[in-house]
Amino acid sequence: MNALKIAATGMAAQQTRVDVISNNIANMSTTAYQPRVAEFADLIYQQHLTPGSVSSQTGTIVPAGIQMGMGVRPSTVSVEIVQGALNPTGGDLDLAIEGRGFFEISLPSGESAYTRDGKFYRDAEGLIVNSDGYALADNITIPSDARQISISLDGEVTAFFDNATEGQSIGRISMSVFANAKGLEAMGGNLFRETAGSGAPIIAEPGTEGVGTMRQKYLEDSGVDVVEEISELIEAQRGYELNSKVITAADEMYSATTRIR
Amino acid sequence: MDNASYVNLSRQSGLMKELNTIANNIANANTVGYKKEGAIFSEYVAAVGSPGAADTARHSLSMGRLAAHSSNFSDGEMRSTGGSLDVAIQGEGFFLVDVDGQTQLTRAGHFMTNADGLLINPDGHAVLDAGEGEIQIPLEADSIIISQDGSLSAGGIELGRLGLVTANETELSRAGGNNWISNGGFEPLETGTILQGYLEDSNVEPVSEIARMIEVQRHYDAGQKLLEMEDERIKQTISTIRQVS
Repeated sequence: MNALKIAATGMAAQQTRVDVISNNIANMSTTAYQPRVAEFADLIYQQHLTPGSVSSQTGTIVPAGIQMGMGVRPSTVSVEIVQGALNPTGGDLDLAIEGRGFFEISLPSGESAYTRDGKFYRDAEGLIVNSDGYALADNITIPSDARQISISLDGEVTAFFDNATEGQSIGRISMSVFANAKGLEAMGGNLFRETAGSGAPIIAEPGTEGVGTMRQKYLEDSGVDVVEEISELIEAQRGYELNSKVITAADEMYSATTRIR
Repeated sequence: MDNASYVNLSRQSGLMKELNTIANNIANANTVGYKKEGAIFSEYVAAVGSPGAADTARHSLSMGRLAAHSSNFSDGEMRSTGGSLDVAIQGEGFFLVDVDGQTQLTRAGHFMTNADGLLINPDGHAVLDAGEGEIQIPLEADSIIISQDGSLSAGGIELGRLGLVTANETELSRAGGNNWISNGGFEPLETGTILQGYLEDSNVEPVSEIARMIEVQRHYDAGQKLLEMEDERIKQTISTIRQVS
């Protein structure tokens, strides 16, 4: 009954692909969303006759062997941290990262989370927080009488007051980079958490090599290419159908067997 | 002796195995670097009748059996991913990965780095360089360039070179996880062409697999019909004998 099971793994794989694609399309307007890609690997093979086995007393060797495949499994659903397009928004606390860095966010539990979503607000106390109200880990408080906020490419936050032409530095936004950003655990809410796979965050100053710079008044668009996703979706759908055809064929063959008696 | 049924049975079980092969191909129609496999049947001849009896011509009975699986190593389509550590080999060649101390071959170039900056495949196995050493990507490396010959560099600094080898295709056995084990060793390949930002898709053509599947199904039906007729024939013989006696 292998063909049925093999085709079932194929259907499950295509289903995974459809799930990933639908999540990408659903997030086509999510700030700084990075599309996920499902990749697959073949399952272990049953070695009925290993290639290279000796097939006679004179030492002839089996050239190809018999190896029965057992189907397919998803190997990764990885996120490619690619630079999304920058969208001018005009918001003083809208930040886009150009490069591969992340902002660090302090969760209410005290843990840290990382995000590329640079849509920030100030709360009642003037603290810079994200859209869920979680504070930026650099703990920068904007004075209530500040007229204007300027954030430089390297993260320096300067406040301008009514009575002075010179701005006053009120803090600096740092960035974190990871050895393997694909290994980050997505938590939802555009946040990621570090894992053993991603490595510990390396806190770096924006503007240094490999980290990237900050753009004030811009937000990073979603990296989802809808046309690409839809063509992938069609492919996945056809793949699903093909596997179901195999199930039908195998079923008919088995039923032919049982019809004999 | 119920030879007709046995011969037929050998064909039926062979067809069942071929269907498994087709199912595996279709299931892996989107597996990176997967190479489609085919089933090769051979005749298995058994002599019937007593040897040495000069006056009677010896009958031979030919059974079918699954002799081997062939792998088709033609190139799959190149799919653009834009990933800086996604690589595809154009033409022949394999990358090297270290699977628990054993060097295995793969065409699936979906690589990434681990927490220590080591270049790995999605199963966490280290990707090896030409000297079968591991490849380390510095954490501060920003944009990694992989040239056509597999050399990795970042900001003009050479980081290593992806191992690219060739092996006798008939001596490769499938290890799962998109990997191959070479039973006859492998040779470094100097002339390979590596494309960065691409992955090689499976070379399975769904249409031809479905056509093969229908063929298998029809042959199986024909075999079943033969079994039914054979069954009917024996039944009739038995009932005739019973009536006579």
